[in-house]
Amino acid sequence: MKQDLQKPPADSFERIKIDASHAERITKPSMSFWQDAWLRIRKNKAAIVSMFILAFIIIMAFVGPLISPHDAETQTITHANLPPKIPGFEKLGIMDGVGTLAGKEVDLYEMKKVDTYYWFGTDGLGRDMFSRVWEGTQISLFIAFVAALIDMVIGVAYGGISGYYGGRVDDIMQRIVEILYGIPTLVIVILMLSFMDPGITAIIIAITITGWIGMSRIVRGQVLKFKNQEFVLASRTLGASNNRIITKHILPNILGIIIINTMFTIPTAIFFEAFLSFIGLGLQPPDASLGTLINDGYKLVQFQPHILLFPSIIISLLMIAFNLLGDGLRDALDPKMKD
Amino acid sequence: MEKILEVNDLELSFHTFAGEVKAIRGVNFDLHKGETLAIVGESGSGKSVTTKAIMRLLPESSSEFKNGQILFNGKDLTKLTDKEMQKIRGKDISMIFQDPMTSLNPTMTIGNQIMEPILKHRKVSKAEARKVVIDLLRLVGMPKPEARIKQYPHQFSGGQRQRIVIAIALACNPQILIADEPTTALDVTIQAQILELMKDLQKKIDTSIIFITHDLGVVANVADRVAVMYGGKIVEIGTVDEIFYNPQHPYTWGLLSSMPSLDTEVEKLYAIPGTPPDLLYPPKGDAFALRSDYAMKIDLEEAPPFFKVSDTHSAATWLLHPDAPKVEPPLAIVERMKKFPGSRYYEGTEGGTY
Amino acid sequence: MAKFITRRVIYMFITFFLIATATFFLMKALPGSPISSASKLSPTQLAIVEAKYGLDQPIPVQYAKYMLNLAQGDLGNSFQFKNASVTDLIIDRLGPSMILGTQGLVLGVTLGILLGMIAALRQNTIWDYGSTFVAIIGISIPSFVFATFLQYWFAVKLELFPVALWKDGWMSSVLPSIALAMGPLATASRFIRTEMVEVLNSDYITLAKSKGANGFEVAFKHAFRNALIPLVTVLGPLAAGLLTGSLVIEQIFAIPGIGEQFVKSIMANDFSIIMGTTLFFSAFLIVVIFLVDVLYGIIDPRIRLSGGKD
Repeated sequence: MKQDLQKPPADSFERIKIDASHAERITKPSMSFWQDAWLRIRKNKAAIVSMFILAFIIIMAFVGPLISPHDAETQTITHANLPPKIPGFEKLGIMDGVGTLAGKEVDLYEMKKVDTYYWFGTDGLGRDMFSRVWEGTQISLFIAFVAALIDMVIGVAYGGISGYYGGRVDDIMQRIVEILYGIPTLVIVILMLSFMDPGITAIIIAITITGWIGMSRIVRGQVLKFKNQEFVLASRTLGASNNRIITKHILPNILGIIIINTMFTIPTAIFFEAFLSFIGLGLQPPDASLGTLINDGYKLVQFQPHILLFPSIIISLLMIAFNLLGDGLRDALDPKMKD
Repeated sequence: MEKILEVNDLELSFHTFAGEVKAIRGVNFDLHKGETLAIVGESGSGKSVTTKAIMRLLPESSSEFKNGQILFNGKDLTKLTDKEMQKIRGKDISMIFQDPMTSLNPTMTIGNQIMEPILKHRKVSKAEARKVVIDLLRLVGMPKPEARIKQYPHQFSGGQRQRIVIAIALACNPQILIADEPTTALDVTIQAQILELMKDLQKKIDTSIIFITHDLGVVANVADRVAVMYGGKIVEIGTVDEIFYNPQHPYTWGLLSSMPSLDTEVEKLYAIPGTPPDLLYPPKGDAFALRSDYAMKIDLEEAPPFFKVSDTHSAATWLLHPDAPKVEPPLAIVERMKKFPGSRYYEGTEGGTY
Repeated sequence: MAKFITRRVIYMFITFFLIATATFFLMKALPGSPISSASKLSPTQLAIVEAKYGLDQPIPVQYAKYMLNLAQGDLGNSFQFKNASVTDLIIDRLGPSMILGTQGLVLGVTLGILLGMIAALRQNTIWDYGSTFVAIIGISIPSFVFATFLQYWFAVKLELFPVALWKDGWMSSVLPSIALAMGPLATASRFIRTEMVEVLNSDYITLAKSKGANGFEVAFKHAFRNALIPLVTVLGPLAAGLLTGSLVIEQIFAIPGIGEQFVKSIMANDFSIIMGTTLFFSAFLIVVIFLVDVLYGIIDPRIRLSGGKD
């Protein structure tokens, strides 16, 4: 603490007036919750890559069957069990139409005198796997999105009513949930399916019949938390109606969590559909989803691994991408993670 | 008095997503044997970081010592290995934390938690350690310690938990006790009890205390000396009387003016305008200038050095420069200064000049 | 605690009762009787068979009988396996399923905890990213896809393990156990990582460090226990996941377990086995969830002494 007596210029000690409001000025640009979340998710490479993968798969699910030279239903028995062959790739030694026949590597396209290309090969009935895989993806995605949407609607409504009205209503609704929650999902789903006509509707009902419970519990917890917070009480004191409180104050605050949870419902629904189809409870031919395609492929895995390979890759990519995107959204939207 | 701890030109930064945060920008102070030094300042002024730096408790991945020394009995703590530091922590220097509700391990009996540093740093058997634990609990005023050592933290109230944390800190008779806002999270009545306890303990065991707080009322109660921190620097340091009755730095004036008091008739409580500086981009000159009513041109260009007011009192403000204009502190401060012999407003026996 | 347990036991029975009732009436709601749809019998033969199974009685009587039998552990007789008792069929199949389930759970949870710990203690390093990657893969890739590829590569191509069938002793259980372990592994490692990171940032860890505890003591004496306790709460969902997994994995590896029998019965429309297994699975999961709640109360001192959360 030595004294520094070096002489500063004389006018240095002139008093200046600093506007105090200056110091209060907010220097960072103000951002809405969603802008902020978008900035965060943009930094998350895994989530961004997942978004592109998902976009690609979803687009292909619709465009894929159209761009393939063959459609999904035509059965060309003479073209059965062909391995994948893609123009351009053949010179690289992969996807060149070569498969094993009786232990020997042969070009099956040449042998069967096929002069067209099956990008993902064909199945045992000579159907084009490329078209079938993308149509299956379409169906799987459709089931997953519809199931997730229904889960969300029922879950939000049930949880919201239970949490917002509270008291006796909440008590009764929660006892019901408590008992439903004790029933294993798998058991209900299988039970439902063994008594319903198999099909897309049956699968969606089976998946959603207990699927909404998770969402309803989360929403109820959030509503309970927010409904007693000061800003809601303040708004109530000012005479806001229930409608206004729910739509203007509570819903915007729990929207993030609803989105995150829905994001995780989608892969669960994809998995359940595929699982049910795999054990034979799901879609029946001629409908095909990723699950039924995998089931078909599994039966032939020793001889025609390509039939299993492509639907497996697509479903794995879908699941990974949805989970990573869900993780990314959670990190971006969850205020707890904010620094 | 014997110096037990010397902090010289300490500079420390955090590396964050947004960039380098210069949390401590040249801190100097000494701690003498047996004294209580209070460090006061707003949140983000660097007071907690300073003590965590002394304990080396900051995350090593994101924090970095840029400059300076922390000399404890002549050893520079910034240069020690982790192993050497572990031998000092809990034994020579120990710490009390802000929130007793979260600072105890919920799944370990409090007996084991207090025993841990004893078994670690002293060569005693478990049975002896247990005796020490019971003595410690009695010392911090815990009734029926024999029965309570088998209990878990959730079975104690906040005040009792803080007593347990204090017992842990005192387990090895540390030379320095760092108390990081030990009463902030407690009810006012419990606060008073804990403060009494700490004052009491300091008399019984001869330890030096660094007391971090933003509550000036607490400072007046416990401290011998006070260091005022702002924007990662100490701006004024002196004895309690000097800081309370002859403050020199405009920030200290602001702090004291914003303290509610029963005997002033001011109707409106003073609030310092503005917000603390963003230490990602620390200001060039005096960090407080932008919020000060007493700013001068030089404040924006050059950081002020320390000017000595007395042997024990110095402040970093250009107002103390011989060339600086004489300014009138706020009225409430002038009132205070009137009571301090040696201040320019002193109204002692002769009535003073004002 | 006693009140908590009593309450939970009552809920357990209500839940199970509801499942049993629902199962029963769903079956009754079917058009025609299960026998008529499954076999080609003349009306007289059909009447004889229906009388034999008690299907000619009014539904409330059938329901009462069914529930009474259920209370005694009798799940009825199979249509498919020459009238064998469903209870016996399930017991016969229990062994392989239990071996697989236990191996899969222990392997998965142990590795998962290990990976999660490493990830949390080495945050934002290659270790962390590696184990996060494994966890994402484990959660995302459906167990039957993973099992099929394990089988294809390690059994068919590399011939390291038997392809299927439960004949080669322990070796037969290796691949299915690994396939089953993926789910628990991923769940446990993600869970432990999150918990550990939170615990390591907690005040009591700072206090432990300020006592002079070294890195090992901080991680294992203080943090590990606190991160591990909440893992108990995911054991319920894990057990449910194991059941789901076992259905397909037993199928893929042709293991004579309950799951494989269940899937076959679904194909064969053997309703008594479907119902029996459904009830068995439900009972299993209900008991697991109950045990988890009690266990949580026992190992967490905060709940242990305050007598349950509610």
